[in-house]
Amino acid sequence: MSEEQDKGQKEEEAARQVVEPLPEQIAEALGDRVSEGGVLDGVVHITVPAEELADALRIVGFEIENSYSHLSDLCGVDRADCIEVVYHLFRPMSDEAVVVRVKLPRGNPQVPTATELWDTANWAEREAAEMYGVTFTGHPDPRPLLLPEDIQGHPMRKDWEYPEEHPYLSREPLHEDFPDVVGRVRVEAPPGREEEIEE
Amino acid sequence: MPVVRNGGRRDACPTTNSMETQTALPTEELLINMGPQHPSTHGVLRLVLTLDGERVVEAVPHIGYLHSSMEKIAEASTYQQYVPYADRYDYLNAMGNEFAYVRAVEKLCGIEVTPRCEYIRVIMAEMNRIASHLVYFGCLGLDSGAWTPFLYCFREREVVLQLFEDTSGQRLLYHYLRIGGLRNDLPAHFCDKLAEFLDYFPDRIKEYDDLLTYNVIFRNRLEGTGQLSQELCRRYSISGPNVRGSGIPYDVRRVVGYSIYPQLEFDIPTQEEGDAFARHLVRVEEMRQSVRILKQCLEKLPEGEINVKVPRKLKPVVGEVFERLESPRGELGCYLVSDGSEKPWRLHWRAPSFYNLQVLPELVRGAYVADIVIILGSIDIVLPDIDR
Amino acid sequence: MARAKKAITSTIAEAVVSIIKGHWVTLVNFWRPTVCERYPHKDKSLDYKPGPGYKGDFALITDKEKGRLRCIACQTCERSCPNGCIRVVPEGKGKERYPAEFYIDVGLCMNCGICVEVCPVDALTMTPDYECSVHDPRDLVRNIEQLTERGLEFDEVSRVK
Ligand code: SF4
Ligand code: SF4
Repeated sequence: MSEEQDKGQKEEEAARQVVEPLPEQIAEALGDRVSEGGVLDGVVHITVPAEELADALRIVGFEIENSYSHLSDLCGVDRADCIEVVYHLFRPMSDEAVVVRVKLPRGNPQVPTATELWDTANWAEREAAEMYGVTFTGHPDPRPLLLPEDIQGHPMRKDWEYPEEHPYLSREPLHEDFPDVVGRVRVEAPPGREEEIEE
Repeated sequence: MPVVRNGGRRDACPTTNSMETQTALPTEELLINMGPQHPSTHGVLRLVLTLDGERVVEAVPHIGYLHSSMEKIAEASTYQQYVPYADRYDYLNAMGNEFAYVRAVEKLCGIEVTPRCEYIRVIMAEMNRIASHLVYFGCLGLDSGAWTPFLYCFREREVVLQLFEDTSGQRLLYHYLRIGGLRNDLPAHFCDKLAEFLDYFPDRIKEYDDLLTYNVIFRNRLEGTGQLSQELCRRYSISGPNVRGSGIPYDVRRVVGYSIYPQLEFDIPTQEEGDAFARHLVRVEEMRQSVRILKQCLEKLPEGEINVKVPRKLKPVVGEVFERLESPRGELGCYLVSDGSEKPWRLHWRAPSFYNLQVLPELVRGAYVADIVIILGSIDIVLPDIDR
Repeated sequence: MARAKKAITSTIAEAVVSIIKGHWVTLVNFWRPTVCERYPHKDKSLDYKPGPGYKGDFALITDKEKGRLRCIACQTCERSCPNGCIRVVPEGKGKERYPAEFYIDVGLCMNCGICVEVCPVDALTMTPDYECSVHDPRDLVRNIEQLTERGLEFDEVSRVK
């Protein structure tokens, strides 16, 4: 039963993976800037190298006819072997989408910012930067956005580990029957910082 | 507005009138913190304001006080386990969030739900839209100094919440939608109660209008405040009632036409002016449209099964989807990446408030301090939605 | 698009009309029934009980014929809970398997109801009790005695009808 299911699933997977070539308009406009591309389920997927990203976004977003000028979302994805930044572009007032992605090395990921094209990208890039450690070169305001200043590392990466010690989080279980339920906010002050809390 | 900075001091203040005596007086910019615990920031939002007298020169929002790692939690829980978490970040639109997440998973797995289930989901989403807009309406009244509409709005909202409670067992964070179906069918009295509510609710909206919307003080406060141009909307990817208040009829329900919305008749209300009052009118009209949608849904509600069979160990194929929905606050997106295992590899919320709040510094520049509260109320944000 | 400026006379006229209308609305509402409840000062008939299917505090259902808990200590609920707030300590083998200990940390629970749904023998239920507040967070951990006692009034899992 389970084997059959597996087989069925694989077939289905194969059926879904049919990639059609890029629409002519986009392929022509982008030329050889695209390193990978195709249409999957009616959505255009484009992968570009980091150097070409600014150009590619400008062309797809503004220069081609009927351009995809609505930047709906921008986020980072940890693909284990690389860090990806994904841009979801839509034609305004329609459901036609282009997904532009750029693959970056885990070591020192750097991409040019998209804030010149869309102000939308400002906070989204700040979020991706602190969560995945991506540097957006040329970003006007590269402060961390959501996380506290003293956090170590980039928590949305798959290899990030929960810190062993934290001044405000207790590792002691609240109840003896829930030994692995830890990390609640400390009620009392952490050792050595009592005065700080009292203030 | 031209700003001449001189090491934090300015000799000439462009906003006061240019009489010589006033120009000679040295004035200084003032830096004040609005929030995080401010009653009218609708949550924990901190605005650092640079003021020139009563006028705002610069506003810098600081967010993240309610960050709850919703996206990291998704990577540690199975597809089914994450549904209740989806409620928890935009709590005023819990059903809508579940709807977005569940739709994304179903698209990834190729699950088709039954027609009755689709109808009930849309009923829930629209009821949630009414409940959310009622909170907006009441809170904007509060922000502008009117207490009474708030109480009336919550009285009507209570009816909706009671229906939610009877159906899902909870009043705010429902966990009612399941992958491939629903928790249970509607309770026996649901349709009658809802029909009764829909009968008298449009009259109540008219009452609110008489009480608040067409009150001259309220109107004068809102008209011309927080002017949002179409250019700004485009640059900041504004969505929802905010963009419709600026004359762009962008509604994901129409544009994408997901679920059963193409079969339903409703209008997309728009206003041309782009100020706080225009956005307010759009939201009020949207409640009426939701009533219209709900009435059609109740009429057409088919009988039949609500659940399709879904394996308990749900393993979608490798792939990704980006599913967009119209939440009361705008375009809600759920980006889901699967690696073929039981747990999502990556989940990202395109939170409407997150992108709508970004435009705030532009809107409040040059406005009075008192208007910040109105502008913030009129773009209708929910802070957990921003911080996630 | 900016709005056109209005003449002061028409503003005054509008103001008078809107004040009258507003007062009329409040007057109408003055005669409508009160909906507020003075919770928790239950002075009138205000002991509100939610309907069946409400996701409140937990209970373990006793099989009255066999005189034992229905629970077979399969630990499915423990594994399915998103927050990890259930602990079941099984005892016995085969048909005789029963829970020696059963803890639910209500303080950690988010009342999602997954544990109730996954139970293969419908042994766990959520009840319409919603008043769970205590003074010490340690008291929020329900043990098997409390769960059994609350479950005595239930023959079946509480479901929406
Ligand atoms: S309550 Fe149900 S799921 Fe939990 S251990 Fe007992 S029988 Fe198993
Ligand atoms: S209701 Fe949800 S969170 Fe609470 S114990 Fe059951 S599964 Fe866990």
